[in-house]
Amino acid sequence: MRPSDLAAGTALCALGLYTLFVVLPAQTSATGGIGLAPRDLPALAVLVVVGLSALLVVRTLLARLPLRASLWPASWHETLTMFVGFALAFAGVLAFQFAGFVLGGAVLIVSLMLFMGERNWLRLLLTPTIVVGGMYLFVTRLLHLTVP
Amino acid sequence: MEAVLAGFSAALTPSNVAFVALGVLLGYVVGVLPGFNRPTALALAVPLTFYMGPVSGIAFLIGISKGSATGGAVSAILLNTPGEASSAATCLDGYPLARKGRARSALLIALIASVCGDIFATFVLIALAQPLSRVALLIGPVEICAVLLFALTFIASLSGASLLKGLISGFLGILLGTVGLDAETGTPRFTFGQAELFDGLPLMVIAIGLLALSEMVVQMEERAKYHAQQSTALAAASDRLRMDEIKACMPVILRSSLLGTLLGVIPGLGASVASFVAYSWARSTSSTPERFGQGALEGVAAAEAADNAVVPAGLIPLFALGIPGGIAAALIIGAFTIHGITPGPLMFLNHAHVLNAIYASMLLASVLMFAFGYFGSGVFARLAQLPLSVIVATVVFLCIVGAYIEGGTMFGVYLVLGFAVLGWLLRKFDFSYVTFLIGFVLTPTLELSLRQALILTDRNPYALLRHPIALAILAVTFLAAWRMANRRRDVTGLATS
Repeated sequence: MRPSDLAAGTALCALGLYTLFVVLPAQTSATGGIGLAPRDLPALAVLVVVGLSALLVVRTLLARLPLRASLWPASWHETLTMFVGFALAFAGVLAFQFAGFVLGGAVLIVSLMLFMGERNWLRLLLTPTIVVGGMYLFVTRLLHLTVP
Repeated sequence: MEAVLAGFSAALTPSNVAFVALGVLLGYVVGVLPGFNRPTALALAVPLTFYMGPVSGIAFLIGISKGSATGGAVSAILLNTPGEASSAATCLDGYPLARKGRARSALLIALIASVCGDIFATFVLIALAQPLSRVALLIGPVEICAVLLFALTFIASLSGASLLKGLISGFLGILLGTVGLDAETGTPRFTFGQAELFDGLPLMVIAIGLLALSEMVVQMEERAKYHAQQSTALAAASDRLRMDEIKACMPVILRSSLLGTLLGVIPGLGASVASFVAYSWARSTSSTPERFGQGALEGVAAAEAADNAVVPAGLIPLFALGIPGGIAAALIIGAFTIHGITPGPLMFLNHAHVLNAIYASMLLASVLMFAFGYFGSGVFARLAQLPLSVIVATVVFLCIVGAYIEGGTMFGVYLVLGFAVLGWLLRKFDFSYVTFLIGFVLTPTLELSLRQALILTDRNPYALLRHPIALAILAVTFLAAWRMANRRRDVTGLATS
């Protein structure tokens, strides 16, 4: 048992209950089907998730873990890197979609390399050129796919 | 046997060998590239077979199938990004091995297991296509449902330190496996009005986000630590796969090849299910299950042997009955049709010489697969020695391109980002993403077969008596669940004491 299990169990329980009472009725049909109704299996899965998450919360509480222990499982540095990493990836995807495959891809690769501490200008130049150029030719010439 | 030898003389013509080699090489490249999957490659290649002879054309397509199954392991091991959806199980131990500086060993054991699984299933195809296809006809929805329920019991053994968290992950996977149009009524479930979700969440997109992209973010966090490991990996350039390690993997390879062949014969199950079930089986029967997930060669061998055995085994119902066992087999029918051959029982009488030449070409493809894989693994292993910044940036870009190719829209790319966040959370909160993936992979087929089984048995449990195979599998399922529960109790007891 870890203190973060309490946070995970509570969040999953709350999310499960929201799915059960709000999302499931709106997004599935309770009728129809000869063997199983479309809602049966998802409802069963959500019920089990809610039940097991509640059990996880109870077991963590019963384990009497230190009150001052952190409920968040990652350090401040890890969390910050995660946010920056995903923000860069998201910005890269936006660039990929709106600035195009070649420019967006190059921006994504170079920004991630710089974030990782790469300062060798030759690598910063060659990596996007080879990777983006190679993939662009592959996707457009061989697969004949339309790219952004 | 004489007929097969005669087939070799027809198959070993320079042009046929060249087409088989080209097919295997193309398949290998397709397998290495995430997002560009086997059915897409086959769909693009089928029209090309119009310009080839029947043997060359079909052998070319089978070469692509076999090559892609082998190549999928390369990116799974080196980048934690499955080249093919069925290679997702290979990531679980392949990537940890690469991080320990044993990329080349992992690639080699994957190759050996792939070739063994492939050759085993090809011999089964040659020798037992007709009798096995009759067995396949005995396997209906009730039996498939029983097999999948059995596979679900593996969630318990793959849960890691906490059974409770493993089960939660597994059921979350099951929940997400229900997204899309309901197979029976056609009503949408959890699609939120998005037409892109009507076919469900693609396994490839989930695997890329959950395994590869989230891992790259973790790598960014641990960049200092990774740099230290990178130097270890460079120092371990002398990494060699030892003979005793290969010997230790052989029982797992043989078992997984058999399992992959049996599951491959059953239409609709597919290589992803086979590789995950084989991996789970290998772990649950291992005397050191704690090594799995940390870099066990047996884990890579099990997943790859089963994955590759499915390719020839999937052709058994096609050759013997004319029933395609999966998308790949369905596309290969196109090549048969182009050359005026109808797959099915009559093919053994009317086109025996073509069939024997195809068998011979399949064995030739296995040999070529080993040759390309052996030399390729040396080249690809060097990729692991590139600087971390180059690897992470390239993999993130390939993840995005792979997700785009998979669906042809940006929707898949945003899904990948979402699943990368989920993967990061699962890692940090110590929830098993293996059980999540198993639950997700099994759900669509499980739900469909459960529905069909309920209709067939009219919800009457006594009707199961008419399905002795299903009853036997269910009995094994209960036994396995009981044994796993007992083992868990022992482990928990030991841990407490």
